[in-house]
Formats: sequence, structure tokens, C-alpha cells
Amino acid sequence: MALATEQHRRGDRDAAAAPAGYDDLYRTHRARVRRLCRLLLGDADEAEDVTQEVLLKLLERWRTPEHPDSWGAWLTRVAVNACHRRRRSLWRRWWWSAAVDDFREADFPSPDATPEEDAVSRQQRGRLVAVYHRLSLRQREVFALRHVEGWSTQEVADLLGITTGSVKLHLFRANRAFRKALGALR
Amino acid sequence: MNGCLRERTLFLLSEGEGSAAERAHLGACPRCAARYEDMTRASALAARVLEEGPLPARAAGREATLRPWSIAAALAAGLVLALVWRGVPGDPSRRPAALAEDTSDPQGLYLMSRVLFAPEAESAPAPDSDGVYLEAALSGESPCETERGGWDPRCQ
Repeated sequence: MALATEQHRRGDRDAAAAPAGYDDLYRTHRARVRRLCRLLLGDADEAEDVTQEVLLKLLERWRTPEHPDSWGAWLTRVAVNACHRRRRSLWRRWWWSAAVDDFREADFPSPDATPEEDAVSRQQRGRLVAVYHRLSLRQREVFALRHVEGWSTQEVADLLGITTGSVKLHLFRANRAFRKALGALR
Repeated sequence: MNGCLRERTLFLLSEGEGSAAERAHLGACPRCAARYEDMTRASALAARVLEEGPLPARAAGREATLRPWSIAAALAAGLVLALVWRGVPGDPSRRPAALAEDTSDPQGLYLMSRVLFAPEAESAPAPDSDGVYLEAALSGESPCETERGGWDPRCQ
């Protein structure tokens, strides 16, 4: 089960190495790419646009004779770069403030929990998401790639063009912020 | 090992690093073990929430609010532009170069307006204009030659 989750997190990289039809690739990776774009951009609409852009690139690449060793890793790289470009073009990010405090706790239901646990969990979830959006862009990228996508520290460093030390520092700061939000750090 | 592990050391241990002594301490110290547990739990929980949770479209949608400092910055920039554009009254040196040049050269403006708004008679070719010489040349004359056999410099 743990292995399956890890494979899912890593974007089925090994599975995608086998020849696959475009439809299969689309079905396998679409949700993951969209989630990653949402995490990196913090805006569902922008993320949807970028996801479409990435999937279009997937189609273009799929039509060429040269396919990457791992479609999952390739797609992640393309998505991260596309999000970088999108963020650069979003000058309004500088101008407009993100209303991160308005995330509604009800948007984060927790299945398989008693009403009491659910209430606590919802509160925590809302806080964690708000904290995530308050992290620096680099911290968000590093955390999403390392812990949500399941990339190794070295892989994250290579993808983002930074040192492994920087990756660890960003992760450490993000972790500190999450612990503070959960009340584990006082 | 004396004393509990530092926060950073605990984090490095969670990343699979750290020395054997530090790992041994972690295994033996309930306080460090609890801190380590908090640390790993926070990242795991955050990752799970981000993975599962429907990250809503920006909650306020497109109703983002302008930051107060950005309004102040825009007003200040506007004020500076207005001052630069208008310049300080009576001090043309403070005005933009192009504007100062225009206003400090009334002769140029006069000539420009003469060219643009000249009456019909004024826009007709002057006697020494190229048209006269061209006409003469077409009729077989040599208007460019002076009486003394020289060359009229106006034809060059």
C-alpha cells in the first residue's frame, strides 16, 4: 500500500517508462499535473490554463519519435517550468494581494473521522493550506515537489537548479511554519 | 551525547542524515523522539492535505484587494510624473529636455509654423529654386553657368 502510494506520488515514473498511448498518459497524469500547478500557482483558474498548456506539450512530444525515459518526470519538469513562466507574467502578483486567509475550512473534509476529530482536522487543514500559501514561492515549490510529488532532495535540487543544502533549508523553514500552525512549536 | 538534539539536527535526521550517535540519542530520548515525531507529522500532514484537499479557486476569487502601500506608491509616482512634466514655474531648466528645447527656441517654432501654415504665394517655388533651373535646362539653356563662365554654386 505504501509502495503504491509512493509510486502514485512519484507520478508513476517507472510505469510511464513503458510505451503508452496518449490517452493513457493523459488519464494517468492529468490530475497530478493539475494538482501540482495549483500548488505552485495557488490559483485554480491559472492552474487549469497551465495544465492545458502542459498537456498540449505532452501531445506534441508524444507525436515526435523521441520520447522521454519517464513521462512522469518529463511532465513534472514541463509543469514546473510552465508555472515559472506563468508566475513571471503575472505582474499582478506583485500588485494584488492573495486572500489566503479566506480559505474555508469546510473545503477540506476529512473522511473516516468522528465529528469531533473531523472538526479538529478541518481546522488544521484550513490552517495548513493557509500556511502553505504564505510560504515563499521557492519554499512552496520545494515542499510540493519533495513531499507531495515524492521527489528526492537531489532530484528537487536538480530540477530547480539549486543546491541540496538550499532544498533542505527551504524544507526546514516550511516544516517549521507547518509545525507552528499545528501548535507543535511554541 | 549530552543534552537534546537541536531542531536542525532533528530535521536532518528526518531527511535520512545525521550521525550514528545522534540516531542513538533519538532512540533513547523520549523528548527528542516526541519532537521528531511532531516534525515528521507536520510535513506528512501538510503533504496529505495538499494532496487530497481541493485547493479552492482563490477564495476571494478575483476580488483580490489592493494593498494600501501600492496605492500610496501609485499616487507618489503620479505626483512625481506630474511635477516632472510641468516643471517648476519660471525655471525651464527643470523641465524635460524636449519641452525645454521647444519653448526656448521661439525662432524654430516660428519657422516651423511658417512652413506648415504658409499662404499659397509663399509656398510657390522661389526664383532660385531647383524648379527654375530644371525648367531652363529643359528649354536648352544653361542657367547654372555664370556670365563669367564659372559654375553657379547654387546648382550643386
